[in-house]
Amino acid sequence: MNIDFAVLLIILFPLVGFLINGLIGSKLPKMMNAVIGSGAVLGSFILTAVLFFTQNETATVVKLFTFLNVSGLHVDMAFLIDRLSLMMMMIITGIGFLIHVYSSGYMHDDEGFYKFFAYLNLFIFSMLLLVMGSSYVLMFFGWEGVGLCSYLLIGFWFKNIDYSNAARKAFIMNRIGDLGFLMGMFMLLQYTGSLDYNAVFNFNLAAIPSEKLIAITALLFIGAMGKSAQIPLYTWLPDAMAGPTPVSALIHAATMVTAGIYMVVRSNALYVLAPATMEFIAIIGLCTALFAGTIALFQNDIKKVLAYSTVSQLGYMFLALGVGAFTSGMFHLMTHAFFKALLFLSAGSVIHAMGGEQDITKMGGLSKKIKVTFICFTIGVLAIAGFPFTSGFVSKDEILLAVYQHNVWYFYLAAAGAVMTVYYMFRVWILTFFGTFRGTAEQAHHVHESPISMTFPLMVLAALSLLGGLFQFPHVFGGKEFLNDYLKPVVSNLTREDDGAATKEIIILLATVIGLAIIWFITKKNYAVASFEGKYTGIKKVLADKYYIDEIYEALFVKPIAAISRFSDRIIDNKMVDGVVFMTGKMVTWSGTTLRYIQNGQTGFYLLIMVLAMAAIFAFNIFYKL
Amino acid sequence: MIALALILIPLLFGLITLVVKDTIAKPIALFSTLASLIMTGMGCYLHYSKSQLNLLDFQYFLGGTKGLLLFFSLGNIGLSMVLLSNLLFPILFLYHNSSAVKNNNAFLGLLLLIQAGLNGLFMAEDVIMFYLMFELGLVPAYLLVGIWGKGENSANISFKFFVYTLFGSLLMLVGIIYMIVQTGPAHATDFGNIIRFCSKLPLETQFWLSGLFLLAFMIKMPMFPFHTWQPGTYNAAPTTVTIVLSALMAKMGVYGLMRFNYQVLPQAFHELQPYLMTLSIVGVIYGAVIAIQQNNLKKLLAFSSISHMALMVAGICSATVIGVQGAVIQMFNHGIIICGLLLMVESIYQRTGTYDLSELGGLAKIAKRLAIILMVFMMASVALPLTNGFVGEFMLLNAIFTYSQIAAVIAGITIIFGAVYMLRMYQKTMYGPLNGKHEQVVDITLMEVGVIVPLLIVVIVIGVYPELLNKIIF
Repeated sequence: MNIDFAVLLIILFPLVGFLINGLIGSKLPKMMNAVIGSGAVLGSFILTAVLFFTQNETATVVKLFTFLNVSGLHVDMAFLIDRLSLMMMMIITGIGFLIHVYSSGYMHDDEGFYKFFAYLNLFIFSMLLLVMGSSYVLMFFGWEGVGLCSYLLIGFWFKNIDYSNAARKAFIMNRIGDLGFLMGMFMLLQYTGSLDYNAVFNFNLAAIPSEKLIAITALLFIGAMGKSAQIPLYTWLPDAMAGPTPVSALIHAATMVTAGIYMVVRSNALYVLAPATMEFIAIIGLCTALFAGTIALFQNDIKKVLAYSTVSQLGYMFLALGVGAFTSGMFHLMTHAFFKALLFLSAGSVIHAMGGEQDITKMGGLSKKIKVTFICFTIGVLAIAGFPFTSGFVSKDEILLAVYQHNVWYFYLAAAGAVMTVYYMFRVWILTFFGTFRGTAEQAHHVHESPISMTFPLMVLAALSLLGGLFQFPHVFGGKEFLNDYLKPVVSNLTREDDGAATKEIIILLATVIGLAIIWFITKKNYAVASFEGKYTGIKKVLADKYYIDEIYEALFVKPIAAISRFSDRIIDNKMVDGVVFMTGKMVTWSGTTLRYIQNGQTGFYLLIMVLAMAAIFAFNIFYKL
Repeated sequence: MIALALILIPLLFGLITLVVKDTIAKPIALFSTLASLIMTGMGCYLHYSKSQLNLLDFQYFLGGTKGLLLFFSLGNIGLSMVLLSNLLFPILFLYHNSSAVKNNNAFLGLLLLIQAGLNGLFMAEDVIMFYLMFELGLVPAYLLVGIWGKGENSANISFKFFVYTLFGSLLMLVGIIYMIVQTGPAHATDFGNIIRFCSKLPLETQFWLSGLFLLAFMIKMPMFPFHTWQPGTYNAAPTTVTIVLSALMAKMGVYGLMRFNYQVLPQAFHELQPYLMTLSIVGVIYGAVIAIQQNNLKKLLAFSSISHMALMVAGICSATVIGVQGAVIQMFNHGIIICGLLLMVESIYQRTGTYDLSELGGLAKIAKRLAIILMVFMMASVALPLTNGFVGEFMLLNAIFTYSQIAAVIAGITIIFGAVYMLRMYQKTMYGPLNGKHEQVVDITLMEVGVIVPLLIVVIVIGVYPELLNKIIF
């Protein structure tokens, strides 16, 4: 098959799925909804896989039509298929397919079943557009499209006003980032004359003044901060957990939130020329990783822990990008997509078993009751905790080594963050599956393993989480760095070959094993318990209450803007601006009623006015002629 | 010839509709609008294929070569607006519920007269015709708001609207007369000659002429701080008229700004650029900020319009090709979107009897079609890519950016605030618990959906392939 056609089909399958389920889905049986929705993504996945394994080092551009051609701006509706986009497409369609299958079980009793699949397919379409587009403009299309889907899916159960508030918050916070993205694009256009990747990266970028490059890259990064939930634009992501759990797994862990990473890696040619921005990215990433990690320590909602963990892991990816280890960032993006999707879906299976319960203080002892889920969740925990040779171990180590090269203090902080990761994941794991059951008797009776449609994706993801590290296994342990070679044509890493890497790898390995054991004993003692209140005081309460950041934003931005809006409406608009208009009207009426008296019908008076006026004109003339 | 037909059809049928019986008014009006639509379609096709362009023009001297020049052309930047106007009127008339309106014939007849005025204005190639058509729209609009308006003080509101905009157009008349005098004994009134004579006027003269036109157009759009007639009028007017005012008549101001201030008086425009830019950016934010806490659906859309219109002006103020083109494209697209939004608002009103957001909520549960269509128009309104709202806004912001980066950042806040007020509006109408009073509300009928579908198609087609619109109108 010709590649143009395959590319077209990859992006059209989910769109067609969306249209079918969206337009006539309500009239089809649920089975059909699920088959159409999942089948569309499976079709894209198969074609992507074919391209993935056959794509050589050169990029292919598939142009459909000219989107816009006006003075100074030419945008093609075209797709750029290279190894970077293919890697993203594999993750999106692969994990996307698994989550579609999972959803057919998870959402089975929901009346909006067809709608859910329609939205999911629309999301896959937008996400593919984001990574396949051949220019920043098309990336922006996908960028906003996934924002819309995120909005629709977070607020999927829209009767609950809190959920629709969360959806709104996500959209608006993303828009703040989007403003940066837009401005970055405009500036890029101003200096390179194009927004097409090939044109931009083939432009003599070194000729652009460095402060302009810093501005461009920083503005684009603001967009990434919104989409990938970095400080200060991260607060929407935990709230986004209001959406159904498959959504959290697909959109808010595995794919959409990594769009910011993709953007920076895609633009690596720009970023390497702007070291100040790179440093900024590293710092933001590190701060986010630590900050979100501390919040995750004492959350009692299973999905909230995973959400803050996602924010934190995204921070690690940006840290990697900031130190110039683009491939490591992409690698962690991939492994994180595996194990975080696994964790979310397993959590969904737990929630499903518990009849909608998300509070881990009311769980416990579930390991015997839902075995498959337990094993899968455990694999996810081990992977994210960095248990030796799991995917998370390999990818996180790569980042840590790259950070060590760049700045040793960043390394220590990042390592401390990794310790926190282990702690909060073990805490959730133990509170959920160990100790004794703390829920109601009714829940205890209800607990059951999920259907095969839900456990099958879990098993696949569990295998990937365990073995995903093999894509980029360190030499010292006898591996081969496939990903490095695969991405070489599209990214230029700033990391150096390190002679001491082998020693460091082994030290990290030992430290990890010891650390895991210690934390295991601490958390086991604290959380494998019969009763657990989950109430905290002092500094722990501050962490559990998320540093009150939401409240601070509310007081600093939301409330003042609402107050300014009301003030502008009632006082400025109604009283002042319209007041002047009203006064003008009054003056006209007043002068009309007053001047009316002049028109009194007496010829003598008119003559007098006439003479006076002539005299005035006469005087005026003399005065000016002089 | 097409130009003449596009004025005469609505004019004649409008006059006929005024005097026929109530019952047959709607078919006649509908026939007229469909005829205009077909003529417009032909015109667009000719302009697109760049063949037989002479058919688009009409030129005639009434009373000899020294007489009144009737000069209209469909081949200019007004084409997008002519297309919009002739596209919207049939939809409005199809959506129109005759039995709910007293003196239906007069109502529809006056609307047709407005259509004649709009078509004439956007095709006018001489300044006298421009002025006449400007006024031709005003009087019927005044009557429509005054007679058919809702609320106890609709008479006051329509009077304010009338006086305010008439004041503006009289200023414009003074300016036009002055300009014609400048052409000397030739007394040429076509734009070509006016530009030839007036663009070289001394700067001081250009300044005060500019001022006259600016005032007229800023009132018409309306633009901060001359907008206070608008929210009340939009609210009081029957929704059909609100749509005509916001989607079409407001654009007369932007269009006038391009033709007079930008083309005829370029030097003064250049000097005024920073001030006008500042004012329009203030307007962009001002309208958006007030819309955030509005509880009346129509007023909310009125303030959002103020914001959107100001962005177009800002784009023109950048004095770049992309800015002016962006404004032309956005004029068309904003018209489509605001029409769709207001039709949906009217559908909500007909079912619930209220425009008040605090009384609405939860409608998505019982009115799925309504919810979906409102969602599409809302997303177009917040300039989501692949809807028609995106292209124009992107071009406008880009143009503003090339003029001033700070200005672009401030104007760009509108993409945030726009999302804030539109999503709030959507949430308060569609999401959350349903008001107990509205449990009997029924979804919009398939007939109504059918009428809206052309607008939805435009939203998506222009969104996905904006180059099509470019090829037709430029």
